[in-house]
Amino acid sequence: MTPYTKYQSRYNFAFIDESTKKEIRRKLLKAIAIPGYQVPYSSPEMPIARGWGTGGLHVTLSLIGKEDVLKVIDQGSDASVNACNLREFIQSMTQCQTTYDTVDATLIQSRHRITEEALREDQIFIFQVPQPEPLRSVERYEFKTRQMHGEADYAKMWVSLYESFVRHGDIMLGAGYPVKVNGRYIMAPSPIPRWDIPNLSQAKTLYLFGAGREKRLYAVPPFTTVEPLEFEDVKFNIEQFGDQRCYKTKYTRAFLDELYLDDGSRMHVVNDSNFLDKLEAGAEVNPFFNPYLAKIDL
Amino acid sequence: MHREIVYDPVFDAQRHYRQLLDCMSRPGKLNRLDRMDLHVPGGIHEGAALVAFALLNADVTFFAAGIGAAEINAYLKTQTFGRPAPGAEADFLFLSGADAMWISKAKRGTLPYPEEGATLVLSVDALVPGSLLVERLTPEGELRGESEQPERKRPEASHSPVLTLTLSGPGIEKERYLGVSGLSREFFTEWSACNQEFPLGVDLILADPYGWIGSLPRSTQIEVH
Repeated sequence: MTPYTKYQSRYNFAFIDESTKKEIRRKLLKAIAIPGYQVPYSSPEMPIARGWGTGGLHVTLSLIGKEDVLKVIDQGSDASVNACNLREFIQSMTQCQTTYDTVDATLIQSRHRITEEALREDQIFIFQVPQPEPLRSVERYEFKTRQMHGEADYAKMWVSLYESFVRHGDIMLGAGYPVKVNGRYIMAPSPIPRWDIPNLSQAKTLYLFGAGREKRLYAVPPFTTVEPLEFEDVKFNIEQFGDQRCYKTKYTRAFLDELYLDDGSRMHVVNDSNFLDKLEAGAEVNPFFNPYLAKIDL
Repeated sequence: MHREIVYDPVFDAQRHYRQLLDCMSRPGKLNRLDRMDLHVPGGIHEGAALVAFALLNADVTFFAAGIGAAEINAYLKTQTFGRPAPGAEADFLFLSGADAMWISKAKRGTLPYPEEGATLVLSVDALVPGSLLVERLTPEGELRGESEQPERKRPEASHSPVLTLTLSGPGIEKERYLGVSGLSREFFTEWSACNQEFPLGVDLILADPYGWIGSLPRSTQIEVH
């Protein structure tokens, strides 16, 4: 076999060609200028299938530089298949540093969770989004939802929440609870649990969303008001775990995973793997805090 | 005209874009692009050219106005492969001074596609960060004394007044101040008018001769003192 010597690397830095990076970069600036609005973009081919995190990958790869420290999480875990493969891919395309530690990271790409630890101004948080259109459940056609967003006509959405309450006695939306950004656009916050929704509002960090399969980019700039949809008499609330505690750390103010054991019994454990590691090691943690968490006894 | 050889289209573009992203997500915050000694024609600052290098390619159109427009057009076309277009159709407008009033012609997007609104890249005489302004602001919001910046002296030739902007909106915790010299009060009135019908509007990127850049997206509310 002839060794490949002409170029140091077979691929452009960060895999995506510069022309496409520019396109994604321009679209991201517009996404920030119009908080919560979904900007269509090219969604170029990636070595993983669309719908497996390509949107987040596009955003990360068009932002990342050699000095960045990258963290990738999948439903709170640094160790699951999606996180490991994306991290390894980005690292091999950029030679950037990677970390599990939320505090050390400059770029964090995430699937369906925000970290328990509070994020800083110098960090950028990138979501992988499967379905960017919050109105899709009430309107099937893209040209119509686009018009509804343009005219801020969200009546159908409110009716669907009302119907949900009438039928079931509660708004039956768990992950991906619709939010209103900056008092204008209704946005799908990617399927993060309701637990994470309050942490989007007036945050210090820039949140970027990439939906690769649906070819949409959107953003929540720092210090932007993000309100979950709620009625005057039916309020939004985060997940309630009752008197359950993390079985390893006895911690209550973190999103818990339910574990089913072989004997049929159930236990709960902190979902964010890095946060759990830090709690177990007795390290200092600086978690997010919001009015909903304040109601939970420590 | 030769292509700039000191500019690295991969790593310089990435670094500058991250600074630009920071500016756009925190309106009024200034970041400094390192000097690169590009052969930029008159009428456009190096900072504005670097913004063009980071964002323009053959997919987008741009427009330049004023006396040096022909040179700026030729320069940006050669360096970025962007396509020149009339002011009312261009995606990016490179303007300065009185020509900034072209803003009234710039496209603002449509309700289903507001992102089609133009981006103005303005070469201004000086940008003064809020941290320097706050000490000199009287309770009434008026500027006290001449702007004194030992390390960033304004050129002798231009003595345009510094307008103090009070900014609020997404990306700003409560309020942020920004001083801009080289744009008129009428310009900002016109800009606010452009953004009246949010999400339609025009986004601004400001560049001064010292490499500082700042940004004012359409979501920002301003008050001019």
